[in-house]
Amino acid sequence: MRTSVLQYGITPFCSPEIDLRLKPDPETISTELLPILKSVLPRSSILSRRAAKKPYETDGLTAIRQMPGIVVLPETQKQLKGVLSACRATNTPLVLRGAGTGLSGGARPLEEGVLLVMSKFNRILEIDQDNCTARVEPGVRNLAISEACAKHGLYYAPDPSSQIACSIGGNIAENAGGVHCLKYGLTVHNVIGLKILTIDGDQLELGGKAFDSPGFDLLALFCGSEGMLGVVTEITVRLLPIPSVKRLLLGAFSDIERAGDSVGGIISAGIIPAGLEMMDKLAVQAAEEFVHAGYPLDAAAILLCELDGSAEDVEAESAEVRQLMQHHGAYEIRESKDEIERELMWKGRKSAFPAVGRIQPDYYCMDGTIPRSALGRVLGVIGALSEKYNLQVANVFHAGDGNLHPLILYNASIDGQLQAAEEMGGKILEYCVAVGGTITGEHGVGIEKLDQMCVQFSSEELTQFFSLKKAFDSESLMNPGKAIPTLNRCSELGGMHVHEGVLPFPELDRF
Amino acid sequence: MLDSDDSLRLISAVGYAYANKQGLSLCGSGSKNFLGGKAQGDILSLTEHSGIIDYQPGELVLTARAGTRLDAIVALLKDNGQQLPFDPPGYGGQGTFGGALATGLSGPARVWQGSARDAVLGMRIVNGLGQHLNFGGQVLKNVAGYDVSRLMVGAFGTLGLVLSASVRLLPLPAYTRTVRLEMNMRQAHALTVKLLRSPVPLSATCLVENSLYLRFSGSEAGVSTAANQTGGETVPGAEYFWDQIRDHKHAFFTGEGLWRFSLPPAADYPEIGGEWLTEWAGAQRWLKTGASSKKEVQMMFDSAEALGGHLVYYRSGKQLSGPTENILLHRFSSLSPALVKYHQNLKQAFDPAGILNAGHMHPDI
Ligand SMILES: Cc1cc2nc3c(=O)[nH]c(=O)nc-3n(C[C@H](O)[C@H](O)[C@H](O)COP(=O)(O)OP(=O)(O)OC[C@H]3O[C@@H](n4cnc5c(N)ncnc54)[C@H](O)[C@@H]3O)c2cc1C
Repeated sequence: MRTSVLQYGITPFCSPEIDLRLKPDPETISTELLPILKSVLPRSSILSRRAAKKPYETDGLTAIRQMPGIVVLPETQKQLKGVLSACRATNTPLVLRGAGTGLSGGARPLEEGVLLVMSKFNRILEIDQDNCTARVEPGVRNLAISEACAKHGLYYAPDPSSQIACSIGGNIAENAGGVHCLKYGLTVHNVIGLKILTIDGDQLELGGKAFDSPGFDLLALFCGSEGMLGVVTEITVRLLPIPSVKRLLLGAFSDIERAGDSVGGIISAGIIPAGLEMMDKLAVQAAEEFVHAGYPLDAAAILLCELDGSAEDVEAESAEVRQLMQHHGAYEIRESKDEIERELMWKGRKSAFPAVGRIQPDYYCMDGTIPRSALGRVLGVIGALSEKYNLQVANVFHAGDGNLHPLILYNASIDGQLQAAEEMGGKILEYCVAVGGTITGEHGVGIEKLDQMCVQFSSEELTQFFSLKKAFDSESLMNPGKAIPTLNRCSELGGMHVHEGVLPFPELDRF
Repeated sequence: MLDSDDSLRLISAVGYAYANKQGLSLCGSGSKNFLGGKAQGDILSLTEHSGIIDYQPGELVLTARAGTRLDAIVALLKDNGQQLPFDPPGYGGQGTFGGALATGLSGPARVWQGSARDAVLGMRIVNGLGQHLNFGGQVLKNVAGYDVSRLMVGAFGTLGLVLSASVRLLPLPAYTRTVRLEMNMRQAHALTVKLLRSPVPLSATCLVENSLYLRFSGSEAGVSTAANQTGGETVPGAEYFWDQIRDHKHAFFTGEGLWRFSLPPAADYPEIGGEWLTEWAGAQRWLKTGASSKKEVQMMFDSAEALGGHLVYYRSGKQLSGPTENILLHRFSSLSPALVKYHQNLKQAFDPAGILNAGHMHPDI
């Protein structure tokens, strides 16, 4: 049996059978909480029965499940404030949830806590053509913003592959990226105003429609803060003019490392493509079977390079990119002829995750980021690990950004495969740190990468993170236990600790 | 270029100051000292901690020590066909890398190429406890832990001493052309609002004394098409003009009091007597005015806020005195009481003894 947490056919990476922590339905939340919640919310906005709470057990990281103590879905600012003050008054921890597409367990609920679902805050409040901004509520879907402002010739640039489903509030919390972030930046670069409600009930206005604001850059701090510092209640995003011309080039390579080299070649030539993505053979085959994008099935890797701008710019740059790809061994290069073809070629890439999910029952998606020059080395290590653990890996990369998404395929119903996949994933991330990269480029730490955080940060750095959190949430009620590992956890992991990016075991044969 | 690692001295100086609860006033080249209030404490100079730590043009990332001179970085990048996207002002022709990040200022291309904090990828800092900490890294995407490095940008050294930082770079455009159009403020405002939402390869705008300068960057053919459509005459040697604007060496920036309005680009002009120089398609407007009474100053702050933006006081023509200085304790638009609370909490988290640049950015931080 498989249930999808998402309506649009994204396959959860692990089957729902692993539900070890499902308990017989105890009264897990404090007894004073419910009456207060009932006084601030309509009955229909409180879910306390098991069957009603069930869909909220997990986010996109479906291997990890937890029945929430109680689920609330406020729809006004007043109700939202009421929920926060109820939690504060009863010392109840709370977890925020947007659309629940997160891949690191950021929205995984707590047994003794409130799951605060933001999906009813789904209005686009204003599109300001002259200032090129849109003011939206946090539950608005990412793609809905671009759809709403297309008639003005504007769009919102960050486009995570989950953009039909994920919420802009969740995008802020994870500092989401997308295939067009190489040229246009991540969420943090495209948001210019936020309204925040803190657990103490303070309302903060950060930025607005101007390009900067006095004081600390709290706006940047909130991007990627994983719902740990406050509730994002309103967002002002920057809109960009839709480029006059967009063209997608697809290069097919018979050697994956040479495909990797051509990424560096394009960037070194002074070209910043709108998107520069790479897929390996397994990912190409899966995507092709799923959406029939016309990808070359015999390629060891394909490179998707989008160029946009004025007709003249695109013409000049495509000629150059063509040459560079050929120089690096591309045996076939295609260009999108029109918008329909361009979108189809992207569709293969954007549905790569669910497509890979059709090969094996389960996959585990990694999110390491590395310096581009280390691409070849890291690919080698992933290949070696794949052999060692006897698990297939499909590689999908935001190649231009150096952000890798190796998808480790496994079958949870075969004993030991989930653990093997997790262990192998951990090794990949540690290697990313060893080559000067990071354990997560855009999916966040959540609960998934807590152990690898111990590899990336010293105890003093982790302590600094904790005191930063305390500045906003002194009782640690917001999303407790996520994103930053306790020092105890790290010391229990023992031996693994590294500093200055040097692993005690940097060599491949160690794996 | 001077290449010296002074980090051990800096770390121990902060540790010593923390142990003895002594204030420190962190100082780069001093080119932007005028921007903040006077910090309380002994001067700790960062200029000896300089040099480029890592630069591989193919990665489009540069890592340098805080005391490295901006002009040296810019020259090196130029040799490699690259640039700092935020094109930081080096007032007085000087300025250090760390100072540019601590003040968070950005040059004429900010709207199109991003701000100083946008470019930052990682930082080594010393917090107020004298601990040497490393956040972020050298890769373009990184969401491991809170984004402390970007928080440091524009914090005026009040949360930590910046030892070194990694920033993202951009290739220099293949071709650039600046055109000048003669028009009044109202016409120019309407045109830049229109250009901001059009897909044209714009990279800077400046309106000064009824001349609107537009800079286009990209391929030669693309730039020519855009520039021909807008019309106006091509300005020869325009690079010099943009440098003068960025570094406040243009004639406009002499004389009376100078104020910076940061506004939504399409916002109306505040009704205050004086001369305007407008950049960033309307988002950054400089006002030169003799207005200096308490009432006038208050009016300027109020109008910036009413238009959805904020105001920074740069420089006075006359000596501002008494009550006016009080309003200007901040130099910046004031923060709401709720924001002040979280600023103070953050200060407590990074610098519990309050020894780093106390009072430099805000009287209570
Ligand atoms: C098939 C697939 C493809 C994906 N592709 C990409 C991709 O290309 N790029 C990318 O970056 N990510 C991608 N993701 C991951 C995911 O979609 C993003 O992390 C997204 O930003 C999460 O949004 P959400 O609304 O689903 O948030 P949720 O999963 O509900 O929550 C994520 C985090 O945000 C917090 N949060 C939610 N709302 C708020 C709020 N209002 N205020 C404060 N905190 C809040 C939660 O507590 C949680 O910590 C993909 C996921 C899937 C399933």
